[in-house]
Amino acid sequence: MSRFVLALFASALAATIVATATRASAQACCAGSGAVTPGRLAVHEDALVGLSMRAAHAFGSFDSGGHYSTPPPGSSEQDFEQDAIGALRMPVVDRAQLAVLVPLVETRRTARGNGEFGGGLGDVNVSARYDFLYAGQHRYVPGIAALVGLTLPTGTPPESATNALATDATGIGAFQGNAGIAVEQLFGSWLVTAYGIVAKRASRTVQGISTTLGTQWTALLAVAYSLPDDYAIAAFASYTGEGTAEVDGTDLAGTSRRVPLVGVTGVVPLSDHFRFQGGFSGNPPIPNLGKNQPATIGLTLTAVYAWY
Amino acid sequence: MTLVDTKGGAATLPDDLARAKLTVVVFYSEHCPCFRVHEARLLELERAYAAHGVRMLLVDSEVSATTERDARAAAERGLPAIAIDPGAKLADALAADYATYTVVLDARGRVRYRGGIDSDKDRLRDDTKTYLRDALDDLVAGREPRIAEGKALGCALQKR
Repeated sequence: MSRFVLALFASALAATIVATATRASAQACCAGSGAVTPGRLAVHEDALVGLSMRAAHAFGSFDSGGHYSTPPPGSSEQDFEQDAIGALRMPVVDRAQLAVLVPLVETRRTARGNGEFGGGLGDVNVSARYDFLYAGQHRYVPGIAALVGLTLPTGTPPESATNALATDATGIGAFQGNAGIAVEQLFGSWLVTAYGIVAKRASRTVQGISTTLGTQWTALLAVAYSLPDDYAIAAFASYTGEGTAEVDGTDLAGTSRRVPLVGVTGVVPLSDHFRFQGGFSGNPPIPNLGKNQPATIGLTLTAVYAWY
Repeated sequence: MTLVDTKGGAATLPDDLARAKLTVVVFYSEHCPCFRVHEARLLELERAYAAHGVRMLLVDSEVSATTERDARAAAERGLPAIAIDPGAKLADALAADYATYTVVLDARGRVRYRGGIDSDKDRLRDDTKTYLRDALDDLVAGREPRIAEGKALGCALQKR
């Protein structure tokens, strides 16, 4: 799964559950809130820092034809990631917030019985969100926000990996810009959030050959339910599609990707400032839903401290 | 404008402001946990400052507000009468966007304090910054409030 998608989920889910967590019975104490940024600020929050840890196991993969298969004997993969997250509300334009995510990425991969572990700094993501309307302010009009982001090629691209099984590849090697829209609305204790995001990757030259990853789009729907004392649970589903990559301006057949993802998550507030968020997510092994993508199941745990 | 409250009374603003030294307008939300946890503090403030000529006015500016619902809530939770603000006209006039947002008006209709009740959100702490209490202390003593505007941390008011 790409850094962009991971960042999307880290943020979107956190956003949804935090937004919902602040609604005790039918409305938000801190309605609106959040961002499809790696850390989303609730409406009254001015800044936050967080640390997110994710571990995932690849239990199969989808090939270029969408066929799902389990790994061959002697092959396995586990992915790990630790993200430092920061977010800040703009001092004058308080409907705008900026966020940054700095990831460390590790992979443990085994092939034909040979195991290898590697990793390093991943692709840093910076993003911004502007809330035109907050959820809960209008009975019928949902909260609407614009999202933009930029992922920097700070990680190690696959061609620069030195480990035999490329476990030290931690990035895509290209700048990536993304833009999107978030819509969310309250229905009693339920919060429904939908995101649509498009990501465009810049071209890059590798060994004299110009390559461009395909445009990527992601749709995400999350439903969260608030519980007393700011606890909350949420379920989500997303689908990411990626177009065909280009090499020297020519489409490279069989390189498009599809990534389905579903998950559940929750938030446990320890105070008005400090909360834990965590959950499970995975790629359902349904043939033809995925394409050119490993199928994983993972656990994410995030600690967030916010100021307001 | 005239706001009818849950006890059948009416508050006419700004005319009725002259009936008290200070009027504390607090914006109410039926379902806001932040407001709920502050109710005891509001009642305590009402009791403490009534003798100083301070009147508290709870206002429900949400589109879902009804006299019946708010009367039931006030009776169950021992709240003062809640005035209904149809069309959120008072909320708009006082720039109220969040529950617990509070405006202290003097007898001449001047805004002397606006913002949160205190610095707590959903969980009350002993070391909270008591914005409203401090402002009332100062105003009752004839001083300008040491903090004229505090951050309100309540729910977004569903005004439309």
